[in-house]
Amino acid sequence: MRRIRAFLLRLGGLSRKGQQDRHLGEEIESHLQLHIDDNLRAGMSPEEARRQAMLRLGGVDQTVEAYRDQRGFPLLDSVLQDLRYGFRVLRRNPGFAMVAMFTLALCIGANTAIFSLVNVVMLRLLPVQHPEQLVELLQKYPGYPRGSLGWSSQSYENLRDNNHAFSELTGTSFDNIARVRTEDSEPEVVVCEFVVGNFFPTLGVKPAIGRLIGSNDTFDKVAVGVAVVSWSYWNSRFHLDPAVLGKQIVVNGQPMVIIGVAARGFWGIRAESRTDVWVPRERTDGISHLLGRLRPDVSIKQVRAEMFVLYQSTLEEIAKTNKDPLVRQRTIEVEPAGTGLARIRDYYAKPLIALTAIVGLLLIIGCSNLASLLLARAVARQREMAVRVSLGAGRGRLIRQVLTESWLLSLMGTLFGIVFAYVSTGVLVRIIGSGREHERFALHVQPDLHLLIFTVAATLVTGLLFGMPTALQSFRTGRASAMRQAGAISETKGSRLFGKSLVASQVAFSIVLLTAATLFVGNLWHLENLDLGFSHGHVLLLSLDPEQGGYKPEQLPRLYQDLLSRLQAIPGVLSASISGVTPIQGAGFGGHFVSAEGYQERPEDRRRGFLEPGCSQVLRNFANTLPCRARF
Amino acid sequence: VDKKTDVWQGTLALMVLKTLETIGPLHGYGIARRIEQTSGAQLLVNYGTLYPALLKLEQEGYISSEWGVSDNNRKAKYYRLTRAGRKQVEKEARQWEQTTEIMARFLVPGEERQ
Repeated sequence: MRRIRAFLLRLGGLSRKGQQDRHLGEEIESHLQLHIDDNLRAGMSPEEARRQAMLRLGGVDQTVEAYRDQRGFPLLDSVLQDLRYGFRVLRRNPGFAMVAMFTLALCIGANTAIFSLVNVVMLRLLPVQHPEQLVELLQKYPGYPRGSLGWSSQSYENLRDNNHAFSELTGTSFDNIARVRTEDSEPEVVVCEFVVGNFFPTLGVKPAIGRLIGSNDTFDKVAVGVAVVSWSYWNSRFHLDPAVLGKQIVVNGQPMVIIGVAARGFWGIRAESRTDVWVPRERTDGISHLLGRLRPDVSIKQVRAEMFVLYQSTLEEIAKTNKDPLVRQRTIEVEPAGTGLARIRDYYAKPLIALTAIVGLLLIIGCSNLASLLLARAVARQREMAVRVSLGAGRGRLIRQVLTESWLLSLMGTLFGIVFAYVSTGVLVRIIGSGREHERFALHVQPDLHLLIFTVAATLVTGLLFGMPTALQSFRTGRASAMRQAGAISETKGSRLFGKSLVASQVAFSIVLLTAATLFVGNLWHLENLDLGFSHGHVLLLSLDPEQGGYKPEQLPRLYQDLLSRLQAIPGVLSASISGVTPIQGAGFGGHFVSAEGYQERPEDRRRGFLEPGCSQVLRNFANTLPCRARF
Repeated sequence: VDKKTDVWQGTLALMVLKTLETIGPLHGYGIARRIEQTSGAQLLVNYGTLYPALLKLEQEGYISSEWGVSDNNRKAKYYRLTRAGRKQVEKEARQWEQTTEIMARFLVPGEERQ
């Protein structure tokens, strides 16, 4: 208690310096007077009395210094002093300050931007209970990306009922383009999840209002089902109205009653996109993602071993009904899912790490650039350093002052860098998500503790990196020229070599970056100009969703015929056609296996016919609209 | 050469508090002289370190200060013991007695101890 009181008073002492200094001066003066009076009474001459009094006090300045140290915080005082001085130095060289801050803003901003993506994709934990206990089960055929294969409900039940590693095993499937409308609104496209009944209990997510889906809730094609909406959907669509409970929404044509809103901040189990509506899955439907919660005493290694064994029996079950000859080659993987489903990391972890390395290099280039600028300036400030050293500035104090200046620079660079990072992160996220609207890519980059620690560390390390050479140099040359009593500019051999190596490393790193950037741009150019096998100039694509316009399925053929003839009637249109999918979109309706004469069929071919893009449903005239060159 | 001992680190505060307890409100110079007198001129107070020590005691709330006029009509800052200061004197005096008692046991010659 006393300590806190003293601390606060000392803190207060920082702001009332002038007044307190005056009071102290008066007190010392009165002390001397009293002492002199005594000495005079003892029979000393006035001069001797004063001299003795001063002697016993031990010097007015020393007393004032000691008093000040007790009053404020000596370290803080000198830091503030350094900061004020640093500001003055920067203001005197606005050109240098601008260049330095711009460089730093770019370097630190780029690093912050990339790290904020790394943070979201790889580090940020899901807002659920004990996210570290969550694991994802993935199965795949050899040679395919993992997670490319969903789970049948039999497989799920087999794994759920026979494992000893999980306290809960749940699952979910996504519909990224679910059509949802409320009683009185137009349909809109939202992200919908079809979840197993134990989904929310497994994650430990609580409702904001109402209740969440439980084990007794099932999807019912006949009766009205139940649905849970996210906080953000509740906010944007219902304006946080508590009367949302009991309201009906229509999800993909099925009426559902809203029974609750999920806790604020919970947006599903994917780092890259946000779920708006949760609906119980139909019991017999497949599940695209399985998520388990480990028992507290089970390690991921143990669960991998158990799943490997359990999966073999699951495969035997599947093989009984599945005609695919390669079923037994499927493999299972168990991945930690505390930061969300593995998919996004599989896709973006490597590019992000590469980007981190690149912006890291950029930071090093920026640092060495600034270091050489500062070194050059230090030569001009040699005289000042010499004066400081001869006035008794110690090594530590001098280094601290130079570092304070560089930290001040890097701090200001960081402030601008954060603005830059904010803008560029938004652009990056848009670039990543562009062209794949159906993925509903919505990386939500938020400042959090990770990001704060990273930014602070980046600022400190950057300032240290580009400030340290100058700090050490200043002290060395400052001392040398102080001894020579002159500010003559002299460079030691070592410092010249260091400056040269800085330039060399800058050039080397820049060449690496430039080469990488050229390669990337070249790749992009090749992709844009890839020969797709059909001429795609002068072709316009028109997408439409007749269901939203209120058309019934039986009206569609007429509608399409009508549209097509009207399009063809437009002057300037050479030909028009309709297709279920467009080339290189990479999707199709089911598949058809076509066997050509003379082709030796392999066992996996027939399966591929079902898994891979098959023939799209194409109307005649398509070949005229998109002229293809057949290739053999 | 003056052979008097300097005041040991840490004991000055207790001496200041005890002096104020005995004499009542007093200015810095008076406190210093009084300590020297009480010690039978064995101790030499470094006046320069007295004022930071007084400031520390004031920050901790053991003493308070106000400006007044001395006996011979000099303006001076008078320090006064607060209630917390009184308690602190008691506490520290007790601790100090304990310490000296323990030290004395070690230093008394010829006495057998178990």
